[in-house]
Amino acid sequence: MKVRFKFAKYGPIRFVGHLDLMRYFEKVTRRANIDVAMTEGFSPHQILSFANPLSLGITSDAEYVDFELKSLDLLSYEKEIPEEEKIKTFPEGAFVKIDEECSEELKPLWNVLKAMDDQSGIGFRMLSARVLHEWQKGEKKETAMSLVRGADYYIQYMKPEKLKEGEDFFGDDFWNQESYIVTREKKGERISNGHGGFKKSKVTIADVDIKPLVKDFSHEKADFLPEGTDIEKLHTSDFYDKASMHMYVRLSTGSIDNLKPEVLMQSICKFRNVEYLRSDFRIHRIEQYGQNEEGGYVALCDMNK
Amino acid sequence: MEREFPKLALDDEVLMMVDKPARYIGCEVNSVRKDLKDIDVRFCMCFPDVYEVGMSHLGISILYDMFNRRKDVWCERVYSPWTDLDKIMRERNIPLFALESQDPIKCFDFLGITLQYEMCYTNILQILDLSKIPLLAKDRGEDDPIVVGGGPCSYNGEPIADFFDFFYIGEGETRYYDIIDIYKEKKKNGWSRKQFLEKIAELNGVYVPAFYEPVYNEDGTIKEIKVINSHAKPQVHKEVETHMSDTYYPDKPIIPYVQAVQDKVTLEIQRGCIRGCRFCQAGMIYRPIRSRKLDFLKEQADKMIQNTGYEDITLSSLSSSDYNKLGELVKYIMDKYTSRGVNISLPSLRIDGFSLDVMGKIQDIKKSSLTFAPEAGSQRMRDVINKGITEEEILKGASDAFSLGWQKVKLYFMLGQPFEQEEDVKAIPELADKIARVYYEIPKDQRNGKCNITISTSFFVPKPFTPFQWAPQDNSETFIAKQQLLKGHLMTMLNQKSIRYMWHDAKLSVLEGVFARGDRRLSQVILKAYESGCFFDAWTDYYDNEKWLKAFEECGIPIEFYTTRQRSDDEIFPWDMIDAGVSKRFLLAEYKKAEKAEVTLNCRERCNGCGAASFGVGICFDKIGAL
Repeated sequence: MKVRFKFAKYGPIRFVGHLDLMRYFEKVTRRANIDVAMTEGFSPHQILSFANPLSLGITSDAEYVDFELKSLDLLSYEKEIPEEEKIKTFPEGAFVKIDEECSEELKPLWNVLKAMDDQSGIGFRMLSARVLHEWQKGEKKETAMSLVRGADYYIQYMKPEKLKEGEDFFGDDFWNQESYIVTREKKGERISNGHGGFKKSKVTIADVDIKPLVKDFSHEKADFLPEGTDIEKLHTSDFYDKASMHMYVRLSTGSIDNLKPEVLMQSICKFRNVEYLRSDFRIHRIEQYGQNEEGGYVALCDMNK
Repeated sequence: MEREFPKLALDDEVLMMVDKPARYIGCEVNSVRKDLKDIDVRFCMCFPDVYEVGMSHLGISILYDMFNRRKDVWCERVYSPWTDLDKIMRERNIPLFALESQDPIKCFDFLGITLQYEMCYTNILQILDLSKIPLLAKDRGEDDPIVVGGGPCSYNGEPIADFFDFFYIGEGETRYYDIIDIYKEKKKNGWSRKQFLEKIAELNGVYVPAFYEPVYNEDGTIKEIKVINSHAKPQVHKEVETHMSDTYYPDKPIIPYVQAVQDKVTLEIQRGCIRGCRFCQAGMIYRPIRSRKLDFLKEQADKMIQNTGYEDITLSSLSSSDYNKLGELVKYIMDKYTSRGVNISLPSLRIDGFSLDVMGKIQDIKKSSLTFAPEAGSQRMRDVINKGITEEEILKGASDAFSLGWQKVKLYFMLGQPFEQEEDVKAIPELADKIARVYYEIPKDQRNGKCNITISTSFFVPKPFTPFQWAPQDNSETFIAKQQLLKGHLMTMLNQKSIRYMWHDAKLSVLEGVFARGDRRLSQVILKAYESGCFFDAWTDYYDNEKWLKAFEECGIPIEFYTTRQRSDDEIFPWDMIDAGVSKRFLLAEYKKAEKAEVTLNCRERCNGCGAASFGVGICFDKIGAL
């Protein structure tokens, strides 16, 4: 069965890259004795996948990793659990949260989540687990990565001294624009070189309007954010000074139409004629979303597929 | 499970400018965090190379665990900042810091630097410099950390002696607790740095270079080594761990976030070697061979694999085929952990039926390559270096391997070994060709295409405490000529299309040769080279031979004195104040035998009275040698 785990990544661990995350999780599940399914062949690997990768330096309360599990049993070196007794299936949509009580029936899932959390290094916290839909033949398979359409961020600007007197970095003068311009390098396209091969055309620099990819924004807690979002409870870095200038934004995210929060910041810097330095910002991902049939955003942890 | 972490020493701006910032944040699973108010002594362990290299080192892992088991000591780690961060730290005056606490190295009681290879010497200066600790030991104040060096190069620490307060000679598990206890007394009684060093100089295994003064002859050789402090002994004897199955070994190795060069759990199955290959320093300085009990190893394997979740475990020793319970250990680990996706790595095996059987079980034969280390191409040379393997054994091993399905073979050789002739060099591709012929004798329908043989040669560097410490080293012109000879001769081989040749840089080997058998006069050269910008010398991208040559020239030190010069039988060596357990008399006798290509039997076949029996343990007393 496929289980989607939601986890927080914070503190100094914001500097651990996405590729290193996979190796980290493989070891966590081994330490936690989770019954992970392996690929076939001589050198078996665990079957896992992530949702939208998090850029270096960003903290998050909503990262996702999907694991293919053979059962919900916690393996033991002393005693092997007979195959017939293993919990190999579990109701689709079964959902547990780390610090909430759950019913007896859901206990096995919660035990897996807790075992993973107990083996988490500092800077990681396991938050929830959900049993996903088993894809049948003929169905169009979706992965966490292919499902993501949007993400919410909490962004703080740490250098008010770079601004003009009285200027608010996240002021409405920016948001009220018809378009949000940012200067991007467009990767060269592959053009035929006439001998049956390809060459890349020159990299072009162009101004791009990213406003369509900004789905929502607010200076204070707003309706579009997940219920119960509380800045005091989010796993932002413990050593962030409380910045006076901050913003909540929802951005289009995923394999199509992906807008990184840093790029939005570049646009504001361009508008305000201020030097853009990535480290002038504290960025925290609050949630990742898929979309339902009506086009509305649904948090990934609320989706079964 | 902890939630808190220390404030990072580097701010976000710097961390986002450098490559792999996770090298500098600590916070790894199984790293140790303690409360400063509970401890009395702060120790910082250093591997003077970048994080990924340092984190692969077993020695630090053992000592880190050993120190942290003491409630009154907190041991942390530091590694060389990569070139990008080094530049920023100098520009912004950011002091070097330890990973766990993120505190500056300067506020530690001890800085322990492991000395694994000579080309990291300039990085030692980088570490001291960035930590704002005076580079020369004599310039350090009462508040500076005590700087100690350990590891193989400490057996001849003379080229870097001016930078160290003391060297720990031998195996680290034994004497450090005593040193810590004496240090605590120092703090309590207000002793000076010098008084502390005098006290520990009385311990076995401690060498304080400031208490010795080499005096030179006109020709540059050593006239005598004067002992200039009454607390120092004329000879410092190495420390040997005599309880290999009842000593420190990490249960919870640190798991780096950045992928280490050796990204696996390492289980040292035995220490020392019976073979007595004459070029090998490790084989001599780690005598006598002592193996660990099977039960101990099984328990350690369990703890390490279960506490880390690593997917690979390496069984490590100088010659693992000589561990008499290898089969059982491999079976135990495979039976228990293969289903969890754990792979075993088994280097340093002799190629015989038993090894092939084991390797066939743990490796994917089709994809992996088999490694042989004949080290010499002709039987005469193999006898000179006492590498006890015959051509028959090599070809039989190859034949068995090929019939089991192996197709890739890697062969390690050294060029420039003592008493080497042209025909010995030519014998290398000839041996590779003979191996290829063995492969092609297999009927075409029973084999899968071509075989892939790789010859890899490195240049021989004579090391202290080996029979070859008297031998001249080839200069780089000779090295390159031999390389060319080998390459040319390979082209004339029948199966040359199946054989590839890879070689090392000659110039780096020459420099290694200078420092391996160097004396104290070299410290000025190292300083000069460092000041002119040399560091990360072990990395081909950063090694600058021109700068080094210039440093030697400016100091008026001739390289050939250390490398190509033949030592006389009665010469006093810069490292003669160290006793590695194997006597100089034995080593000289071995050197004479080498000249006649006479073989010496291994420790299991016959005791040759090398001197290691004085430690009262291991193979010298117990044929099996498991403690």
